[in-house]
Amino acid sequence: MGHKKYSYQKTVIMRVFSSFLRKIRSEHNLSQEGLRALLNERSHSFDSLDTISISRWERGINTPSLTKQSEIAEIFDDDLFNIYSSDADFVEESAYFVQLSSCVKRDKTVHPYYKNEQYHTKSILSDHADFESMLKLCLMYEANPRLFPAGQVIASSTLLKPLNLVSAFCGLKQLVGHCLFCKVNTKALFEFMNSSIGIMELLNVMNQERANVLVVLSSFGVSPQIDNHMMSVYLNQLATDKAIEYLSFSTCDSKLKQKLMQMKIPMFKVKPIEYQSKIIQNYSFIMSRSEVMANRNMLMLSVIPTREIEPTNVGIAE
Amino acid sequence: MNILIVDDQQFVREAIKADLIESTFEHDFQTFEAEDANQGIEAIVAIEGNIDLLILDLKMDHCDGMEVINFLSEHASYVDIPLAVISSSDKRTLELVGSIARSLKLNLVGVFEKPINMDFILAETGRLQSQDDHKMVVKSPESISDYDINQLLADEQVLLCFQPQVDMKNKNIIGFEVLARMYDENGYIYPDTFLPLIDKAGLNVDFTKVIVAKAFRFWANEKTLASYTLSINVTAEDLSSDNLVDYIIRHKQAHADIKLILELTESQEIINQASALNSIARLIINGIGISLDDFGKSYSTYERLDTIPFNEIKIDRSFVCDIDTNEQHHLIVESTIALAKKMSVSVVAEGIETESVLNILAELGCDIAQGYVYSPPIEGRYLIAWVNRYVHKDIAANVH
Amino acid sequence: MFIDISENLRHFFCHYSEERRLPLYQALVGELVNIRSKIKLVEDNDQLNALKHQLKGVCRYLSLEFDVQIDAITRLQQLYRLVDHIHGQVVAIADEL
Repeated sequence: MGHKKYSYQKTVIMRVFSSFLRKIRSEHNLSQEGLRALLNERSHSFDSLDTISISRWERGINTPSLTKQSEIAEIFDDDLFNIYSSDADFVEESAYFVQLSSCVKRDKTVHPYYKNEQYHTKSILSDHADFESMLKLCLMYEANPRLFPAGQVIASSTLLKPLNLVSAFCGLKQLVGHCLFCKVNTKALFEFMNSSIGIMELLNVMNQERANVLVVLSSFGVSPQIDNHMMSVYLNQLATDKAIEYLSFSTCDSKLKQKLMQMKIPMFKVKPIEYQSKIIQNYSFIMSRSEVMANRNMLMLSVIPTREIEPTNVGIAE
Repeated sequence: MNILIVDDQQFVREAIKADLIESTFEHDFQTFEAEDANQGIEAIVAIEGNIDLLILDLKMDHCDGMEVINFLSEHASYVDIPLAVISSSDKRTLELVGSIARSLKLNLVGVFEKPINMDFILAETGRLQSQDDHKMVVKSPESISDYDINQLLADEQVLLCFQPQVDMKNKNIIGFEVLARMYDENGYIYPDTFLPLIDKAGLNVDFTKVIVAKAFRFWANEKTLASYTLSINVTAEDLSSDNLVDYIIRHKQAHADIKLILELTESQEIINQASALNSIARLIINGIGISLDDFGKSYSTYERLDTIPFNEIKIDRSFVCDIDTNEQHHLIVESTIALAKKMSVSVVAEGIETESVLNILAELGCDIAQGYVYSPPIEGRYLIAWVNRYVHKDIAANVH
Repeated sequence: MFIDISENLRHFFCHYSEERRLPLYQALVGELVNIRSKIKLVEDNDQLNALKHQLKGVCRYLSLEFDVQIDAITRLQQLYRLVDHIHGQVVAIADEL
């Protein structure tokens, strides 16, 4: 079943890219040979490209890797997220991974204890009444001493404003997933990863140069669907915010680490840290924007329209 | 649940058994005991590796836990046994053993100081086991062995990234190190994944040729890059191929103005091979610089330093990244820089992530800096833009 | 000179059910006697350190913060006296278990 699904995805990708090529050629008045020449001139990746390949791509016989696709898109001032998120079929295919489908109105979890329950997600802003308690739950799960030490009174909400917290609920208040992330500057991030600064300084984005990395501090779901859904939240943020150059994870959650490694995300560092007089591992990952968007799984997750996510305080300007 | 306890002190074994009985985990525990490494190994074999948790003391009379660790790593049928290493030793020793166990690809639950908390260890073991069951819906259809490395290389699905090397005194860009990535339809493939595959397929030389060709083509085409050195990694295996050495020299001769440095990894092996030394001589004669990479990782490097007329030493990132907190690493880096100065070769420190490390290196007299503090490896297509931004920022900074 | 550790010992044993206490007690006494008898056979620093390490392990389990004191021991006599003391205190609470 899994294998069949994948082949269909590939068909969709081929179709999307071939129509993109045809569109580009007509907009720029290029023949297939003209396009080949232009690509050859603009990038070394196309040194051995022949016109026949372009013809095959357009006819949907085969398709270049997402890496090459993104280079071609860039040459024409476009990007993969834009191209693929505009295609309904591709989005539908991607939504399968969070079981969000147009024919199923609400999302269902697939989990032993929550079998037939729907779940919904909520983005919780730092000045919301539930923020502190939801954040505490998230931190308890993550058990990362580099984040707010357990029991410490969480400082005023203004200082925590850069934190994005999204929680997934079943029924009224049963928490079934969450993700916690923020946009910071790479310099501050590396200092945080090397324990030169603490979490409050990391969140002090006003004092940093432009924020160019989205760092995920926790990401979890009780079922694979919710897990993927949480991931799609911050991947979508990265895809839509062009100022973000890197995606990073800094976590002590070995389940998350396992998932990232299965998705072929390279691990940056493993650092042993002390927690309640035991030694635990802190895992960090970092990848550039182009690495993220060329990763098929991440691209698919990023286009899932996060229509369920709505700020709970309407009218507060970002 | 089968638990094997290997500890030379009977009291400790009794305490662990008592803890298991008191534990909040509802399992039928079947405990096995061993007094030393040999008994432990005998027990593992006797139980045919059906062990759900192996609790191993590090320091025992007449032997130590490392014997068991080595035994596990040498047998495919035992390498997956969940392992908890315990000790009254200091934390650093424990951490070291933990790193070793992990690098041997053992199934390490963790390293724990005595007195151990069995509830915690059982919980961690459970977490470790459930990771294998955690099925992802978004599943990449291929596993490592499914990469057709021959095809990928034939199609030249190789992408070059470049990491800048900066002069520590005047902050100018000196050059770039070439870092290769591969890719397929699902995304990027990284060196620790593809290098073993390339090695297994015997494609080392072909791979290096692709890198050299692409790098030279890229450099030759961009006037902005002409003044920067190009550093390419080669292995001892590469150097023993005359074919490859000729290939490199031909490229250098065709582009006399490009400054090329070859970074020799596995310096230890190179120093011992006559054919490699011969190749190095030919390269040097043709104006190609030589850099000793991963410096400090093997002790004998110091002994045979006079054998290779190298231009540069690169200090490995594992020593550099924490010199601000690790006294030992600070000493190692300090003495390496001092040595380099005595031999009149330049020193490159790689793996610099923070400014505090950068500042210490400046004080120690390091010549060249490389690391995330300046930039992660940059894809070819973004390189010129990065260089322009850097140069303009530099000029702007100097004006002020 | 030597502190009274009987409270620590009671605290340790009361965590376990009655049927576990006897085997634990026997193992503890056996361990201490074992270390004590080996002290007489020590010929070099390495052997002394090995015994100190074993004693540390035992003390950690008994929640006795003796790491620093044990590290500071340089003479066999000091180690002997410490082990003997602990042994005495363990035996003294035997009937309470």
